[in-house]
Amino acid sequence: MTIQRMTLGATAAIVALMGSTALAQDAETITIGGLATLEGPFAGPGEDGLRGVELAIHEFGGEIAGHPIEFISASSDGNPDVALESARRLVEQDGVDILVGPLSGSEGIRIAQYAKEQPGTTFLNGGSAAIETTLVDPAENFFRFNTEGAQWTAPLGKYVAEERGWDNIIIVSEDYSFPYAQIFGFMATYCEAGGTVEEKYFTPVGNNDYSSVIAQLPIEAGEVDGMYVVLGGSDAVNFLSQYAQMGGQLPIVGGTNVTDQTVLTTQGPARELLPGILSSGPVSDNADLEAWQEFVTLYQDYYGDEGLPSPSLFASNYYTNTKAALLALQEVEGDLSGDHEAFNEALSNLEFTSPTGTVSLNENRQATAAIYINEVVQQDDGSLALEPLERIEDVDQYLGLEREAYMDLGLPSRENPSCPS
Amino acid sequence: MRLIIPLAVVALVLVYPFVVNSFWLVQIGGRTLGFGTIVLSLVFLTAYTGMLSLAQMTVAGIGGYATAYFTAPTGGVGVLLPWPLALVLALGLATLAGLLIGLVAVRTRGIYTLMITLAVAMAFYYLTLQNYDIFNGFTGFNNADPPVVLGLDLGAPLPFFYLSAILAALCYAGVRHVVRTPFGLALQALRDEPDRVRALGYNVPLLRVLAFGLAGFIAGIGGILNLWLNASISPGSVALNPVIDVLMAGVLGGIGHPAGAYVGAFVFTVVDNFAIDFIARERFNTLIGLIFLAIVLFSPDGLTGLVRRVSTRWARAGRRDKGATRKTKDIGK
Amino acid sequence: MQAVADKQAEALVVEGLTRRFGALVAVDDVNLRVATGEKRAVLGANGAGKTTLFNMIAGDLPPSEGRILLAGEDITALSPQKRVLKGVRRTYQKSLVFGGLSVRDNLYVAVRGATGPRLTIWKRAEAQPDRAETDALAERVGLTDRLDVMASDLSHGEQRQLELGMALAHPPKLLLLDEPAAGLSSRERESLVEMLANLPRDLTLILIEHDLDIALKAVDYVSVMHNGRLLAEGTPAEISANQEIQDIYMGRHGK
Repeated sequence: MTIQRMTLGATAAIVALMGSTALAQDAETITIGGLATLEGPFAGPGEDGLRGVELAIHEFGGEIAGHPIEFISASSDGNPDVALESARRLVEQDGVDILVGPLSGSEGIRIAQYAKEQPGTTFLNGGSAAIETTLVDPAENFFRFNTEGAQWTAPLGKYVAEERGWDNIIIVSEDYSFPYAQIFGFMATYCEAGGTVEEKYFTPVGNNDYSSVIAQLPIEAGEVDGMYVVLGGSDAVNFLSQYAQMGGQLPIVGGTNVTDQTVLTTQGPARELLPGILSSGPVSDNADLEAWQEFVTLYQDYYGDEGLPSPSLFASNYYTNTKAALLALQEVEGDLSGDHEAFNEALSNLEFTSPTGTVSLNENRQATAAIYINEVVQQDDGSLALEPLERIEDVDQYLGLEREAYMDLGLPSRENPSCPS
Repeated sequence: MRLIIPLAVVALVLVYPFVVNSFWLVQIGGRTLGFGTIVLSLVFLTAYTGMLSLAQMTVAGIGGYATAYFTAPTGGVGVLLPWPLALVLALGLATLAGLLIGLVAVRTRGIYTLMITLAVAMAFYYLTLQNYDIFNGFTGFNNADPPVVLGLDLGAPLPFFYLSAILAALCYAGVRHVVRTPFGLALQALRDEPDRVRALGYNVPLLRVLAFGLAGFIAGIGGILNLWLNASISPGSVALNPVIDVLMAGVLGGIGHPAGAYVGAFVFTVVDNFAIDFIARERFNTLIGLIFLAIVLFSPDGLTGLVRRVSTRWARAGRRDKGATRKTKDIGK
Repeated sequence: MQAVADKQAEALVVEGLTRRFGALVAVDDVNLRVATGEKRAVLGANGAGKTTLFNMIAGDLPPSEGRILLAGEDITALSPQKRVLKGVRRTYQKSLVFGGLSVRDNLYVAVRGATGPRLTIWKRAEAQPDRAETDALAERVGLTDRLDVMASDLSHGEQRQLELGMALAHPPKLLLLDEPAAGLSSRERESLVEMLANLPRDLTLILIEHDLDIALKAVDYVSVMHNGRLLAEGTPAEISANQEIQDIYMGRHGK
């Protein structure tokens, strides 16, 4: 008898629990879900990404054509399984109409795949920059208004081959998908221009001791013209410090993360190697771009001391994607009928000015936008900053190649692409 | 009376899909059953052999990776096989992995077993991360969908839920059956007094290794369900967090009884998905830690233990006039 | 006890058995001959080396030197499992029963072990043909009405009965009992002596005992160990009468 009562009680509790969490969908309200890494090593960038989402919603006054915009966030820790779990929660439980996210590459691939199961929801990328997300069997309802890892580095490969006259380099890189994409973009144009890569050295993420790699590197230019370094954050600082202490003088160009703020503000021996390093990416500190300045002002006004001193690339990417969604919503006056048919159509054809300049989509719903080639320079106040050498407009998903030629390159991996000396 | 709880559970599982949305069906329900089966493999080891393992998610991962390798080759990695063969291979490999881990762990006890199985788990994680020929490195396998059998897409929410429920029920019933066989009795004897078991003529290390093998088989089934739930697997699926989650869910539900595996998996999944509604995400681990601590302090045999004790107390109160008290324990029955 | 002429009639022969732990010689060149069906006690103070001797005979500990013959066959190198199959059973000083299992399951684990542990997982214990053997065992040690009780719920005396029952599964040829009377009440001791007296005639028994009364009541012949060596052997009457042994043994024991 008592067990029966308990079973009944438990059942009632479960039903009540579900009832309270299953959200009654307000027909008028449009719900946007934000998915970012709020745990783990990318918690900082993830938080700033969600600031970008909120900022865009705030910019539109929190409503589109009379529809209030509601914002719900969910978290991942960079693990694709967790990202998928959170995405399912946002879409299937909270019933969001639009999902913006996730932050990292592998998560992006997973979420784009999930988008195919949920045609009634529109997915916009957050900060993730893996190539495959919008290339391999892309989902009809997944849109990415930011450029990806290979687009960021493609102009640099061509630049060092043509402007610097390099034709033989070595590569030092972390061993995972994002660096592969960065090497892929770089080598696609560099090898095309006739350059060769003598050797690629891969090290695990979070490595502290680079001596075994450095022992194999040339000290100065000779047979090898330079070194392409694709390391991020503390990995970059550790590697550059140890290479500097060995007296290394090989000219260096870098992946996008080699010259981010954590590296440029370092004080150790790495700092002496930094001025003069070339890198490429969607932003440049000293570019006189009005759209970027406006975005920075908007961000600083809204967040004040709560935010970072200056918005990160992740805030910019999340902001750009959210803004695209809101602009398209505005265009269709909040009409999300028929599995978002009109809305998705509007998104596909959208062209607008993002913080990094004009952005539009190709047939895979992947952004085409401008990329900077930057040089690290010492400012008057002694700090280091990125000085734009060149701004390349309209870098598309195929890196300026014909679609067929690009597809022939295959997908990035440790071995691909390859152009040995 | 004995049948009431099982029947209620069966009825709940049958009705469940029709009262919940797809999130509760797949993400909570499906995950509870798949993840719970992995937890079951740990509970089996702990409750009936007295051994702890932190490598059960790893074994499940081997089952998942093998299934993906043989059913969803990607980027030149993998060999496409008919799915029944792929599943047999995957379960075989998971069992083999269980046996091998058993071989490594069998000479150790307590905290040392935990440490050595944790070492195995972390070694496997780094292997998947850095090996491209078999595990496809950081990216792992995507698009690993369940098969379509006789026109029925097992990946669709409802069939997937029932598939998970059937497999979980079979694993649960299997464990309950095995512990009553001569093999299972020998394992429990081993748990209580290993020296004596040896003196009775048993090969103690062999028994332990076989127990790990069986746990590997069960974890393999859970691993395949977990793979299908996400349609993908990557090193993140076998990283430290999920490895620890199995132990957490086990302790939460009660490591002394197989039902605790699913109770723990359910509670863990719900907390995991809804904690963000009540608490800032960066405090999530603190919350889980506190719940964990409370369980360990106030009900070392987990939630099932708590329920059992409360119900025994009620039952005793009801029968007090007759003076009848049950002397036997439920464990192992 | 008359000397045994035929080697084949000797259930157990121990020759020059020695065990060292580093510099300590726990068992030092011990020779034993135990006839089939004989009931033998090994007496000695704590640390005399009795349990180490048992561990070597049962196979739990390899000897440093010497050999062990079971019914004329050298078993020195056999694993404990193989010795069980050959009919050697032992109990431990401390009660070792499986607390989480019922008395019947305890006995059944012993039955399965003694018959060569076939680890089947297909049929439940209840459906196995050899399950019935547990009834006879329980009756032998007076636990028939306790068969469905958890072993952890038994009294200490009952646990020792159960242990004996487990050791008797699938009748052994050589039974080694390590202090079977430890911790028993005087009434329980009496019933233990009775149980030992009722063991099958062809079963060879060696028991370690502190309690001289029990040992002398239950056995045919006594070996006394002191500091790892065999000090004396004789019938219970001879040993009781030996003042030197009484002094050493009692003095040590403080009784």
